[in-house]
Amino acid sequence: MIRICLESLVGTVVLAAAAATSAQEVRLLESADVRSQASPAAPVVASWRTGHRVQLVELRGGWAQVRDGNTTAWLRASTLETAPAGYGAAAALESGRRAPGNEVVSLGVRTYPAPRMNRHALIVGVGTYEADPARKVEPLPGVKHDMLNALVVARYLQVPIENTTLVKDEAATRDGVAAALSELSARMNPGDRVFIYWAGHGSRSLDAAEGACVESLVPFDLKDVSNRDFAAWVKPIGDKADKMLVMFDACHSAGVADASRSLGTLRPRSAASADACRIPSNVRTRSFSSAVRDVGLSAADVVHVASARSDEVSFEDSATGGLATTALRDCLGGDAIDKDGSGAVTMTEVAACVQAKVDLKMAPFPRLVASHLTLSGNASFVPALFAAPAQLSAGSTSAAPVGVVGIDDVVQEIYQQRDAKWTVQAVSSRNRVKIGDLLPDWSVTSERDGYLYVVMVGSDRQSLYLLFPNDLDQGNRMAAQRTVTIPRPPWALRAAGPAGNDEILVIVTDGPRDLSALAGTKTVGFTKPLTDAAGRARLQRVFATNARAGATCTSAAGCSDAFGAAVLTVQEDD
Amino acid sequence: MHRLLRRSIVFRTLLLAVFVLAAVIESLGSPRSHGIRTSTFDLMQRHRLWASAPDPRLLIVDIDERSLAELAADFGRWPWPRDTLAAVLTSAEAAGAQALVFDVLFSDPDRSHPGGDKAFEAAVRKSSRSYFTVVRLPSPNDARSALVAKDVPGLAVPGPGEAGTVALILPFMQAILETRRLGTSTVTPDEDGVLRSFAWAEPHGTWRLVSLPFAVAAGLGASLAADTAAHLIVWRRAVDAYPRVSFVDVWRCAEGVQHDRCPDLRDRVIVLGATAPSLHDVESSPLKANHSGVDILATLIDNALHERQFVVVTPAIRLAMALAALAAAAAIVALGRASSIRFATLGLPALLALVSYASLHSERVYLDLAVPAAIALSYLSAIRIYESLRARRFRLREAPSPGTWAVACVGSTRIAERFQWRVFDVAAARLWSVVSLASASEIVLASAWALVGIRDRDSAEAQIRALGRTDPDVACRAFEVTERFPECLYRTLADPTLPLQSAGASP
Repeated sequence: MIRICLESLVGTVVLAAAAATSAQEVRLLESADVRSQASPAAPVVASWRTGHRVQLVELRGGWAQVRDGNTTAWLRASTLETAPAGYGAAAALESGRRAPGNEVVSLGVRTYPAPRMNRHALIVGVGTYEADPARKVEPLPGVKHDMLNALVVARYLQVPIENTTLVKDEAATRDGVAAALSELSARMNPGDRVFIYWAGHGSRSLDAAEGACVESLVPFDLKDVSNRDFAAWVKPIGDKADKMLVMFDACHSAGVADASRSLGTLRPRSAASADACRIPSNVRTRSFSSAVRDVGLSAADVVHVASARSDEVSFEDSATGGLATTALRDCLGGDAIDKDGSGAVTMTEVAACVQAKVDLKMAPFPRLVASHLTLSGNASFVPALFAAPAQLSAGSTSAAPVGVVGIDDVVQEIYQQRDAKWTVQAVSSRNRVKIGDLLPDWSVTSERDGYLYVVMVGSDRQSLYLLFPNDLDQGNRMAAQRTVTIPRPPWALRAAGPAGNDEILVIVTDGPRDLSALAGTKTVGFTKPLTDAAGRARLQRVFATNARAGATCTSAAGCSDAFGAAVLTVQEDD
Repeated sequence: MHRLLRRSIVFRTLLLAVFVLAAVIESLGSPRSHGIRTSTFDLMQRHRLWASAPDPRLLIVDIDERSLAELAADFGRWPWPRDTLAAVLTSAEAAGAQALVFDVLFSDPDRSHPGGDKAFEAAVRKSSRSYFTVVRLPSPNDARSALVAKDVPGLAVPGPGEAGTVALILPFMQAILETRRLGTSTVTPDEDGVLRSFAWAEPHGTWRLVSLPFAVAAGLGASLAADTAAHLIVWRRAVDAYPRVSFVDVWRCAEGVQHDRCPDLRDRVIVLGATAPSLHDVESSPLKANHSGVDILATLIDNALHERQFVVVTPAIRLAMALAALAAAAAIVALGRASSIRFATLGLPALLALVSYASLHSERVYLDLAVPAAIALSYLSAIRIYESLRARRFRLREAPSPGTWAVACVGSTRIAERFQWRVFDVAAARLWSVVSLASASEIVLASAWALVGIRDRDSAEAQIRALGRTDPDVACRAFEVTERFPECLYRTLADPTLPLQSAGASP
């Protein structure tokens, strides 16, 4: 196992790039049209493929003048594998950026969301395999791109560089991966969030306990890892984690289906099994999600993404990496759209985005049908609030109110982000109330200490309030197993109609939330209707993030983003 | 002096003392007064009659939703490869822009498109008018940093001695650091999350870290001092005051694929930032709950260019103003003229608010009179409530019994309020009732009162003598109550020997 911190990786890339620059020879990172002038409007003089080597002559604006033999032409600089000559010496110093508690308000946009110390990632990439005459497994050149892409995904998921572990090729043996997962479990704190990624071949192997062949992942030493094995390894992580996102960019169809051969730069990610599992009659489907349930982890806390169904082949592009991983990187980076207008992009919406991109990538190959991304576990998980929060029409420059669209989804989505291991009980003194009467009391009990927040969607489905804490009642700290009853003096709530259900979301968080993000929208002491897209997005962001500053949050307790939640319904009658 | 009169004076004095104490506490910055001051400030900001016009040089190149949508086909999701920014930077410099301010943080290399970074680096090296942002991290993390201020020339203004380490998020490219055209973009909203104030520089030990607006203004020749004191921001009259062009248009013009809708960038101070909702660059300001960060930055740069900032009165001056307002209110009360108090209850706070509002239009000094106005309003309201409670208690609710005696008094309208207090004091002492002629009939005698329920003539005469001693300006007459009390009362008041008389009195 190797644990590489991102700086080392970047440093390697930089050194390699610097050497290339000094020789003035650079490589194309992707196929590109080259033109006679530095403009997309200029005539195309040639089309060069990925990996084509040219001499870099000059950079002007966004364009690079390059020479290949007697041809001198222009192409976009971003298509070249070259890097800035100088990474700032000062920027290379430790700048306090990795310290916890870097919560500041600054103007401007940036490329990645700020990392959070309570996020962790383990990225496994198996692109080469041990030689075994009995079982020939093709190398996967796209895996090295996957590891970089998965690093980008980890950045979108706000995983700090030092909390990211890379396990690659020779280190990615069966024992190596198990040890890396064990080490990850040891270093994380309860309530932390985890991203686990595997790129490489999938297969099928005999599971003695099952007495049948089941889906497996192929590590470097070809000692297959079944879903049951993997679930057992991640169990200690799942016991601690608030949420665990697991992605396998591999498939398991070899031996069952006729595995496709390479097609151009596309390669299948499925290796033939070495044993009797090549015979399809003794195959049993044992999905990772069912294996996770078997070890006692809640489906609400685990999200599993697989690049293909169990009987499908998933592909990688050897020049860019696994199709599903590449698409996931782009979708998490902002391409995924909040289709239901709930204010955040869920895994369901991300998966739809990924599928559309994979379909597009496979469109030129009519002989093949695109694999289907499978999503199991908590499909409502919001992986990255950095992504597009609102459904907007093209050309719109503001988050326009979208009426009732998505207002119920906000409550459900926030509820689905809870740590299901954290029990919060909420009981209403009455379930029905006449319009004009006071709303009933709600008794809330949490199994852990925390901070209480209450959100309500009114029966008109037009109003979404943060009811508590409010300007009249700020004391929302609550102790474990101590019942808190609200509303309480000096505030109360009156049913204002119309007839219908009020949805009340009760949340108990590990650390306090920064409600100032909702500021400027208060009315009569309560945060006023948050029914526009921007309001919903702000609400989701507030609950997704512990506001506690790092200086006061150096231990595990109270530092996580985790929260428990419960939902109540009160019927308003005429 | 009558003991009840004395009690009344003591009460009013105590009330005044309480309000003096409140003025001291609120003026020196209680959270409650902060809320009053900020909400007043926000309200007035939003309803100004005029404000300085935006500097015509400022232009926002906007990474808006349209840009994201239209460039997605070429470059995918944001962040785009930085050769896109290189194209715009090179084009702006060539067109003669005075400055191009990146409201974008270049904190990390783009591993997917290193060539884009390379192109941007080349463009930055050729640029002489680009400005870049740095994020100042919380000072408690300074100890976790190995950076010292002198490592970032241009950002740090040296002071005597060493400044120690500083926590920052820097642009990663050496070329950007070497421009020395750097400034922090960190802002500090108030506790309610609304951004109202900004400092041109932040102290760091004896050194100072300059803000991005300051760096731009200094680069363009403004003679602004790197003041570390936060001052209230002078906002434009409304949000989105600065002209905007979509990034995609500027980029296409730079790339030579679009020839119409190409903005003239000559002499412009360009702020390149984002309003696309998905990029989350919004803050709450007095003008708007979700004010775009790039518009705020443009406002700050405009203010820095014109050395525009509010001087805010200190808490001591605020206290002096609150006490002065209270003194004025107390004087009006002492004058004792009912109409004056009624008018002053709303008029004095309104006058103070008006002065405050007028000062806002100076865009130089903000006279924050919210607390003095609130104190004056509260004090005058308290006095009026006290007197209205007494009036409710002592006023006649049914006709007095025949055979008892009454005293009718008439005084100048100038002393109406004071006279009323005295009548109530006497009524309270004797358990008599009071009738105000203004409420007893259509006859309007602005300062005429009758004390009723007096046992006999001697008591009535004694009361007249007592009133005469304490209030020589008041003329009183005793009379016996009959079945026709109102007629009796009016006849008494119509006596020509009384000094004041209603013109319309017709007993």
